[in-house]
Amino acid sequence: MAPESNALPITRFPARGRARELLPPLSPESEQFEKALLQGRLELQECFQCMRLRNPPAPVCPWCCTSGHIWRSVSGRGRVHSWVCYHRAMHPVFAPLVPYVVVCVELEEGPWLVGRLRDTVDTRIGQRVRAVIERWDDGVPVPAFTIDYP
Amino acid sequence: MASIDVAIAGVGSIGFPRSTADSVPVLAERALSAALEDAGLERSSIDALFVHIGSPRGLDYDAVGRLLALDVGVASQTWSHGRFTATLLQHAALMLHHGFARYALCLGAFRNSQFDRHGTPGFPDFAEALRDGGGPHGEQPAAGLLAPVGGAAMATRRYMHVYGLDPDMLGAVAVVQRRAAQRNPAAALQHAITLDDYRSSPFVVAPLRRLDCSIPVDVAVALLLTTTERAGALRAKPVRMLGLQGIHASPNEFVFGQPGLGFNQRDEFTYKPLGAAEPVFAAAGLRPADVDALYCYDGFSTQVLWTLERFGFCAPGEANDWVQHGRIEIGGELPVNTNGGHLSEGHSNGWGHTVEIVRQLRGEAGPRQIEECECAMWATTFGDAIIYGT
Repeated sequence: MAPESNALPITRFPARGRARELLPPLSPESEQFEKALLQGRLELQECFQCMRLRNPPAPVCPWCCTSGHIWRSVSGRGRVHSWVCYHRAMHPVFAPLVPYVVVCVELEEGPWLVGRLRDTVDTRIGQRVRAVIERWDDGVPVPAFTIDYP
Repeated sequence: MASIDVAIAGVGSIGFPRSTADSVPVLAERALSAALEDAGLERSSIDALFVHIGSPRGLDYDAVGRLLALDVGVASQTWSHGRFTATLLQHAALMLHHGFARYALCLGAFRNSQFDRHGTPGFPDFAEALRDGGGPHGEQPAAGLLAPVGGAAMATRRYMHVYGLDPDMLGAVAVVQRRAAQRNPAAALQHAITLDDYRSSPFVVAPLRRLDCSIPVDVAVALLLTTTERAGALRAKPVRMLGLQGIHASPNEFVFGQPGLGFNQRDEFTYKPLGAAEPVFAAAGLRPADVDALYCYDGFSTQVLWTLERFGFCAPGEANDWVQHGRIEIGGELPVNTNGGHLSEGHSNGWGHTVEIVRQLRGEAGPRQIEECECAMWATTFGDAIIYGT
């Protein structure tokens, strides 16, 4: 399927590695998440009852404890809620990228999403960022972020 | 109010070396023998076994029973994470209090030196980072958020932002605990450090520096627990558990940072700690001001600050100011981690802290002895606590 016109950019992970080896076991939830990413969409679970979005996926809503959900496409835009800078590689995959930044982003729609921040070793809390989808050597897509200049 | 009447009747420890040549069974036996000698108890009296860290770092309960020639009818073992030390002691205390056993061995014996650094693929629990919903310290490996230090750094950055803290001033905890370790022959790190050393310490995962991180060691600590009445008939002065409080878990709990701090929690909110209203104080019939010494889980230095705030020793956001100017030193208003803690004595998952609590309350802490130490408290960022007294 061709990406939609407002799709998030899909690019290559800038180092070499197999993402599947660094992700939780495949499940219907992660298959849905990855299928959407491959089409340029970031999708999160939305509670069927209270309509709040949640991340990570969970069997019940963390606020109202209802079990039903739908998958909702979100913008991928948000602000840095917190961030860290790795000065050591804790896994060989990331060694060529050190020093690298990981951000916890508060998405415009509410939930937090963690990803690497591309192309910089410095940021600040409140910085506007947007999601980029990185495909690893095994083709598996993982969300990352880039600075969103106004 | 829930209460129990159980005491630590004997302690044994091999110290906290950076590495050992001996196997875990040999180290564990050395600690057990020392504890039995300390208490004046026969090995055959032990009828319950509680093991903290199992294989491959440590030994599982069945191997302990077989290799250390025990004969127990009650045994339990917790998840191989540091956070369960107090929970293990609490479970032992409950079984003793309710008469399921008479004398319990609680064992923390494990070798970190045989593995790569914690958080790397060569460490035994690396696969836990690949759990559904994120790792036990907030890890998300494919996003590059790896190792416990990553989650701790993320929480620390948010904490500094929320309360407007000066990152250079974070060094006070590390410097004070190193000074305590210099009075502790069993500590792994004993060379002096200054605030300037802290500021020039390299970042591991910024904003956390090398000197914010604990030092891995090999550990073997044996604690013998029994009822206070039985302990009174043994050789050593009983150290009583005056109040207990369990470890917490919820969408708003994260192993690093108090609820509401805002990383890896459901909600972000202005934290209003229970403080003196935490159940452990009511269980003991005491207030925070009655605590003569505080021992807290310090895998990373900021955990000390979060624990002080969670248990009401100071207001949220004020801990880093509060710990300056000697307040948490031996001789200060509230001595903290007088063994040197995980940062300097070595990362014992709280077993070293518990040995120190016993020594302080018995008046056997030598050059580290706190004057008139009658009440010492174990408490963590994760919400669990034990108040000890004599």
